[in-house]
Amino acid sequence: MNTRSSYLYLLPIWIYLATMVVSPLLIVFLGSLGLSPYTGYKFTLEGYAQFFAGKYVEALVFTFWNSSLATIVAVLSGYFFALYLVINKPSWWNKLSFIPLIAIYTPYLIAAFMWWTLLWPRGYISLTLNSLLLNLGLIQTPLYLVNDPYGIGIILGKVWYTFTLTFLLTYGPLQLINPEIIEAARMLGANTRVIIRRIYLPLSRYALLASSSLVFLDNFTGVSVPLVLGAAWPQYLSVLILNDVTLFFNYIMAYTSGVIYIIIAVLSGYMFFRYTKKAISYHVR
Amino acid sequence: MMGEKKTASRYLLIAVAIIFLLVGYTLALFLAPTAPSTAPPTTVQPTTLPLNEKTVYAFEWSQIEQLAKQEGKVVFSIFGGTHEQEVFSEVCRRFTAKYGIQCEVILGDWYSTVQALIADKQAGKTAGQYDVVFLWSLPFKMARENGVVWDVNLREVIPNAKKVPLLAQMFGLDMYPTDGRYVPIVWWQVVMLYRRDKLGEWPNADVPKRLDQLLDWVKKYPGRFTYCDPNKGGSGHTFLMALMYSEYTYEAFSFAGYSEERARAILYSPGKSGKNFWDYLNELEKYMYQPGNYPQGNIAAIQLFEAGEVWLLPMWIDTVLSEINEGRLKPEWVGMYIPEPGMPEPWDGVIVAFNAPHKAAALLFINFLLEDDVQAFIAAQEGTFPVVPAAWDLVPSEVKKNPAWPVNIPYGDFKAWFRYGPFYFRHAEYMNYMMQKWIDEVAKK
Repeated sequence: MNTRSSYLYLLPIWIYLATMVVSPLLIVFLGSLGLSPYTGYKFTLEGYAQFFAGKYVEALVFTFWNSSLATIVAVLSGYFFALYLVINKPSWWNKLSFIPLIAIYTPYLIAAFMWWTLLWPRGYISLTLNSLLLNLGLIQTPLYLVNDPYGIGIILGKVWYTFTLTFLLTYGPLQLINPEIIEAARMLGANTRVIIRRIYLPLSRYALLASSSLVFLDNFTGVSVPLVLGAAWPQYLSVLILNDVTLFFNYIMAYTSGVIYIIIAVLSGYMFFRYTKKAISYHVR
Repeated sequence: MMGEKKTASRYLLIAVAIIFLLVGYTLALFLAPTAPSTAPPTTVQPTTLPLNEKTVYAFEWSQIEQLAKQEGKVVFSIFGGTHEQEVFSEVCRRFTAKYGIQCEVILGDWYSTVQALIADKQAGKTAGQYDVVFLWSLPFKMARENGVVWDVNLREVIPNAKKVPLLAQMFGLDMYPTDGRYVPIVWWQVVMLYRRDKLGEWPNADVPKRLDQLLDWVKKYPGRFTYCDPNKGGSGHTFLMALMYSEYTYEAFSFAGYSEERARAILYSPGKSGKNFWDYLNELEKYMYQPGNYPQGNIAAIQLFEAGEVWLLPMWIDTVLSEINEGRLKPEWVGMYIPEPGMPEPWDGVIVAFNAPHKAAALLFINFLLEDDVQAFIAAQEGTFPVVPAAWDLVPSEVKKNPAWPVNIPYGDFKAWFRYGPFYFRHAEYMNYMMQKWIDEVAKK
């Protein structure tokens, strides 16, 4: 009775999961094998062969390293900013704490265009930085800071909002660390660097890893920022999918790229939930 | 004696013939139908036929108009931005004022609109949410292949559609055959935008007047030319199509069947310049603005012009007009011209959705979109050429004076151009191939 009624109670969520999660995933997977109305229901592995043969792998590699770099920069800056606030408790923070939140309330597309206007060849940041570097003799020709083949513009655009995400995800756990432990360490002669290395970092490492996974996932799968700030080549895999669907009607490649994307996103999501669970367990204890 | 008899019978014969003629004419006079009145009928005969793709050809236009008024509403789905929404909302207001039919504009993106129609089709939904849908070539192809376009030759039914050039209506959607299931309403045009203050006034301006002179020009002015990523902006891929036509002739592509083998065979063979298409573009790239760094869209490209970074680039007339009107582009900088042998032009337009709930109103609305004054309004507001010839005369002279219009249209007269051509269309499938290969052969190198 109990088991049957519990199944009944869970029925809505099972129906939701089946229709909103499982079936789209299944459609994408079957589509990558040619089994979709857009590909003519003809089984083929052509999509995978083409994916691993050419530009799609290059796009995947670029997407991976570029979003990883953006994640590292965002996580380090967000985490150290959170550490700074926890350790120094600056008085101005109470008045200015809303500022980092602007980034997460700004739609990605608008943020991307904002950065474009700052980074394009006549943008303020581009003009300032390039004139500085040229005057110092460090460069001979101006740097391309947007739509560039290294994805500098993409990294800056992504870091702008994922910084806040990391900061918010790590600031809370850092505040939860018992201040008596820090006090005891100081009384025993530990300096700030030692306290960070031996206390803050170990006690917040799960929050750090979880936020890294989440930020990576966000960076890896986003389309607006690489679409606006990216170059003609290399492109993010998400931009290739967009073009395959809306410009070229190349559905099999869109489905195949989607499957690869999902696999990597699932792995990253798994890491996030695994470490989040550990972090929660730790804090509950 | 015999002679008298002969004469008498001749008279008798003549008399009988006269009698028969008189009787015949009298009968004809009474039985013949009366001449039609030249005055318009005061009432329209209602029809009991349902309006569908089979019966629509049997309807009088006045009956369609009456039916449209009974339907009382039309829903027009458009793509573009808020400016297009404002322009077409005004068109809608005028339509309502003229016919008393409610008109609603829905701004969306073409992809989701067509997907919604396909979903309706798959779900068997016979009354949808859109009546008239504004499209361009790729979505039209997608819609047609999925059977969501109302299967009616609109040219046969809509009176004003006959004012549109037949070639443009049948192939203006990037040479994708429309079979009249679509009617153009705007004629977009890409031309070359150049710095008039730096390069001089037309016709003495120091610009490549023919596309085969472009390479020499960029060598003379290194870093002063750019075009936008063809996968991010229409001015980029339209310009590259013009280059393709210039290198390999328009005839090699126009209305030709497509295969990847043929596309490859053409574009990897030497063109007029002696180089294959990709080598030519890579050579061009060496002398372009920030070689290898392509503006990601039409706006990104024109902003480089506005900032004084580049002096020459292909651009849409409507974008230039809008930038001047918004005060971002100095009009004294702007020079616009069409290089030889020409720049291709897409004629975007409308279809009636297969499940349009107000089909008669949809037909009436499309007819209204092609009225001379409406076309003049759209042309003036959007920066497009009208698709009916008489409309150009109605475009206000202050709009025509704007430097955003090209100075060297064929024959120097829009009506003559409209009448005699040439109309230069893009070939969607070769364009598609070129856009994908451009990434491998140009962007990645």
